[in-house]
Amino acid sequence: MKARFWLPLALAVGFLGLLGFGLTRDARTLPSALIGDPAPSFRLATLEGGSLALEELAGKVVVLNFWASWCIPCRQEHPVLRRAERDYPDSDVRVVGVVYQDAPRSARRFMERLGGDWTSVLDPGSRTAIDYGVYGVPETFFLARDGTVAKKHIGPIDWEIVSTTVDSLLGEGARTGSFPADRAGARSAGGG
Amino acid sequence: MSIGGTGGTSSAAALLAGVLRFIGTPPIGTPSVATPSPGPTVVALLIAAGASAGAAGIVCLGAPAPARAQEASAVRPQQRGTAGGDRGVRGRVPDPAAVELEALELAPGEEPAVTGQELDDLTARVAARLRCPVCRNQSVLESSASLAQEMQQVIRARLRAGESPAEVEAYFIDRYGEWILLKPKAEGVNLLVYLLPALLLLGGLVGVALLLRRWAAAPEESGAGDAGRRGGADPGRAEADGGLDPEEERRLAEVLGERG
Repeated sequence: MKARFWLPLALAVGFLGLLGFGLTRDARTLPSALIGDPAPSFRLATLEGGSLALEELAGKVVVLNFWASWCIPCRQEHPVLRRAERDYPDSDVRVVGVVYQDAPRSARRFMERLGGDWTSVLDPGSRTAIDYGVYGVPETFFLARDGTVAKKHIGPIDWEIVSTTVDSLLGEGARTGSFPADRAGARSAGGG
Repeated sequence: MSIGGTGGTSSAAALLAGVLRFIGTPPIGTPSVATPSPGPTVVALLIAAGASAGAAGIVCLGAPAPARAQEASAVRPQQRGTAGGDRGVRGRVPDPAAVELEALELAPGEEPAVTGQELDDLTARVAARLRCPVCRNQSVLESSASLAQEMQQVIRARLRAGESPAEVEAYFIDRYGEWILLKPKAEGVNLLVYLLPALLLLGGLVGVALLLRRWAAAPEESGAGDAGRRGGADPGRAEADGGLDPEEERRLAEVLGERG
């Protein structure tokens, strides 16, 4: 008699627990398959009319930001990118934008209005976006100095994420003593 | 008795009815079987759940028919997608720059591996197996999202350059992860998705068979059981149930005697 009462109850509680766990997971943000792999290379035209190849940034930490002028969260995160460009020396950290499914004119107007001096490249046919496994904007990839994908952030970034990730990526390649080792979270954020 | 009213699939109900007839239990609803056990309802629900899970598994995981998918993409004009990607300038026709890039996939002087109708068919076949990253319950072939159209271009270019469908799928899996496949690979934990509905259905059927066997034995017991239960609760009334008290016995004998 006791087993008949407790067994279905245990099963039900177990099943509900599983469902509850499912509720805590966010199905919209899927893990990137590229973490740890070399970042797919590209050579694309920039908004200004020149061209940029990923190889030119070898040895630097790259904040690769996929964005579009019609994307509202991209506007929200734009100040964070400006601060990243300002606070880190160009010799170590470069911010690069990739325009996703947008007209070059709209993209240029966006950058003029919101400011920022970093290069953005145009991606016709979304070949590069597909190469990086992008499915929406904004998405930001953090590339380590050796060119591997260290972290992918889906959605607008905030300064906390940028600073901890970039600091740890800088720390990995830096010579001893160059960077403070006691900055909170600096060691743990690397690799996403 | 509530089995008929649980709303189980008609096949489960028919199955139950057939089994009941076979083992000769009294029809459902006979008031003599008064055991209030929740078991039968639970088992019936389990069968229904297993059957519908199995049916759902077959429908959802079965390969989407390329014919149906192609029809969908041919009939539906390229709509504005909710992802916002369609608000860009290009959207109606494949981007000319993309077509150029397609040509660049081949080395100069190299012949395309597949062309024409065969290329279209193969592209459609691969696209039907990939999930649109924007509209995730649709295949890349069905989806009208810009990204899906662009993915089709990529598939087409890679097939043209000589990659096999498996290699093209591997390319997308490397970049998006295994969820880019509409049908999960039947290995590891994914096997659960394929096997669990069948196992649940089987478990439900076995459970029902066992329970029905118990019901078949129940009718003979229930009369004596009821009497025994009531007898156990109140010894004084034992006679009143199985037999009659002396006063009634006499009256009964009189009546019977009168009737002859």
